[in-house]
Amino acid sequence: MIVSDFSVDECANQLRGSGFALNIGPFWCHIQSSLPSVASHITQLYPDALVSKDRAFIDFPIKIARKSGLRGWVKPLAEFTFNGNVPFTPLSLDQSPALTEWGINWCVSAHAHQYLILHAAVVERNGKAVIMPAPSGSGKSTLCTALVARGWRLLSDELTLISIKDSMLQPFAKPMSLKNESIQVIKDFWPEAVFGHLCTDTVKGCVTHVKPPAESVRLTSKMAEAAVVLFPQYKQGAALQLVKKEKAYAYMSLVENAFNYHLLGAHAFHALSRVVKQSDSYDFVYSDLDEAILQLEWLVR
Amino acid sequence: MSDGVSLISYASSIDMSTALVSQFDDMSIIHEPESDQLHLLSISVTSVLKLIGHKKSTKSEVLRLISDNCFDSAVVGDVAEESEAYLQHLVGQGIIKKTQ
Repeated sequence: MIVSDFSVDECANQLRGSGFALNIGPFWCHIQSSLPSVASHITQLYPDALVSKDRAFIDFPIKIARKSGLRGWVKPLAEFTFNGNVPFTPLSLDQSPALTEWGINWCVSAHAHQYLILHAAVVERNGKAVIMPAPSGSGKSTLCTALVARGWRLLSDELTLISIKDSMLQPFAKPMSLKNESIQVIKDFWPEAVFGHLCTDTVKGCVTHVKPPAESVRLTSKMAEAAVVLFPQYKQGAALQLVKKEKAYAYMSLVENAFNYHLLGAHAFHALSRVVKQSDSYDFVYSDLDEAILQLEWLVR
Repeated sequence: MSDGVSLISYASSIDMSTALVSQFDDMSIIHEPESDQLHLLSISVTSVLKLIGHKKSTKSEVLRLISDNCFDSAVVGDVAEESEAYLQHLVGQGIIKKTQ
C-alpha cells in the first residue's frame, strides 16, 4: 500500500489516530499527527511511499503535534517528538511541514550509524552517482533539484548514506528542500514540479519542498556507485568552472561534511577511502542551470 | 663526556605500526585509531615516518632519511640545509617529536 491509496481525509484520520509507518529509503518512520498541514504535506509530497498500519519494527517513532499550554494559544507552536523525547525547540505551527522534514533528517543523521553519513546531495545517472557536499547557500539543493527535473535519479538532497561494508550509496529519496530565491528558480525551471506548503519566516528564510519523482522512490533498494564528488558553488554571473580537486583534499573536505566520521573510526576511514579512490573530484562554479547540467551530463556520459 | 645536544633523539609522533594509511596520488591520509585523529601528509613524509617508527633516532639519521625521501639533489641546491629546515618544520607541526 502506498500513500496515494489513501484520500487526504483518510490519511489525516489515520495520522490523527494510531498513525502509520511511512517508508523513506531504508527506514520506516511511524508518524502520528493531528495537524492537517502535516497530513496534507504527506499526501502531497509522499504519494509514492510505502505505508503500513501494522508494521512491527519501526526505526523512528515520531509525532508532530500542537504544543499544549497557555503560550500555545498566544502563538501556536508545533512540537516534534522522537521516541517520547522533544529534541528541538518548538516552531511556529505554520512551519509544521518543514519541521517534519528537518525532524526526519535529524533522526537519520543522529541515529543511522550503520552508514557513514555525509551532509551532501546525491543523484545518479547512467549508473554513476554524483555526490555534492556543500554548505548551506552554495546552491547544492537547487542544482540537485534541477538535475532531478532533467531525469536524474534522486538518492537524497541532504544526506548521503554510504555503506560501511562496500561504500555503495543507499538511496534516501524524500522531498527536496528549497529556500528563498531558489524556489522561484525551480518553479521557472521545472513548471510541472509539485511544491509543498511554503513556510515563511523560518530561521532559513522561506522554505518549501518538492515532491521526488515516483521512480526515485520506487528504486529505493537499488544502491548506486559513487563516480564523481562535486563541490558546487553558485556564483551569480560567473562563467562555468570545473576544476579537478586532488583526492586527498577531497577526502578531507568530505570528512568536514560527515556527521559521524569520528564515531565510526576505521570503518569510516575505509568507506570514505573507497569512495574517493573510485571517484573523480571537482570544484564546480556555476551560474546557469542548463549549462551546469550539460557539464554534469558529460561527466557521467 | 656528553654535550647535552647528542642526547636528543627523534621519533614519529604517529604510531605508524597501527595507523591506517590511504594514498591518493602523491598525498596520503593517515588515521590514528588510538585518537581517531586524521593527518593529510605527502607520501614522502609518510615514508620517513614509517622508517623512523617509534624507535628513537639520532638527528643525523633523521636528516638522512629526510634528504633521501623528500628532496631531489638534482633539483634542490643544498639538500643538507633544506633537510634541516624541513625537520624543524615537521617538529613544529608535531609530526616528529623530539625526545631525550
